[in-house]
Amino acid sequence: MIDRYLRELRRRGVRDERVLAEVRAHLEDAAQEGGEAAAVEAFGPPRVIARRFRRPEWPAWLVALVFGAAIAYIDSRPTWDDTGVTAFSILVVSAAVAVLAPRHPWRWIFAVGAWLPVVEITQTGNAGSITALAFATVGALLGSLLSRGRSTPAPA
Amino acid sequence: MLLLAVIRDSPGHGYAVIQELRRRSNEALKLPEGTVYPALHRLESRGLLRSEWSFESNRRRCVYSLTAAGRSALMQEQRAWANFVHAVEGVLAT
Repeated sequence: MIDRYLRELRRRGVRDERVLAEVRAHLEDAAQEGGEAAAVEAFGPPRVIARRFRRPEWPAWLVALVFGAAIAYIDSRPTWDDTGVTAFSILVVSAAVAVLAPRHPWRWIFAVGAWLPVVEITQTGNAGSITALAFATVGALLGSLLSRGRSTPAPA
Repeated sequence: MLLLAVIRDSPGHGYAVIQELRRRSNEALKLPEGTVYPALHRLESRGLLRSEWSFESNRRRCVYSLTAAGRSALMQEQRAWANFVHAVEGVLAT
């Protein structure tokens, strides 16, 4: 039951190994006194507890929306003609926000990558810019993987 | 403030801190236990607590203790609380 609870916390975005080790120690202590079911119940619902442990996500949303819009604006200027830089910027910003908030990386694909196709399609009808979503996808997945690798390790 | 006060008198791991908090409040403070850890982590990141992993009873435990900054923050909080209680008592007594 403790293992299931920890899996549920991890699924809900608590990936810091130090936190998980601390929660496990607590639940094992509490289970010795009143059993695993009571220990898990007293600790609180995983949905509520995971939210408390997670870092706030508003900085990631701010970066994603501001940079996504800025990239789309710059790319739409008639003087701008460097698709490579635009694609690379989308990839880097998506990766950065996925590192900041690795849960549900698909959100960052749209928050960063959707601006460009929306602007392009409404201004010129060019649907080719939808490939921006592919770069955002690669960036978001890379960032999410990177973030899992850099979570605080469990104590030795 | 409550967590700092408990840890000042008896540094310990999260579970022990929660038990002590419950004991001292005569079971009045029964928080969902999991909510105490994020609070401990916040206090630690503000430099008011320090933590150290130890090995007790065949189990790894993260033991919290008060820093000098935590001690002075607690004293400030206690003064503010005493002033607040004094003010409320003044109002209720009239």
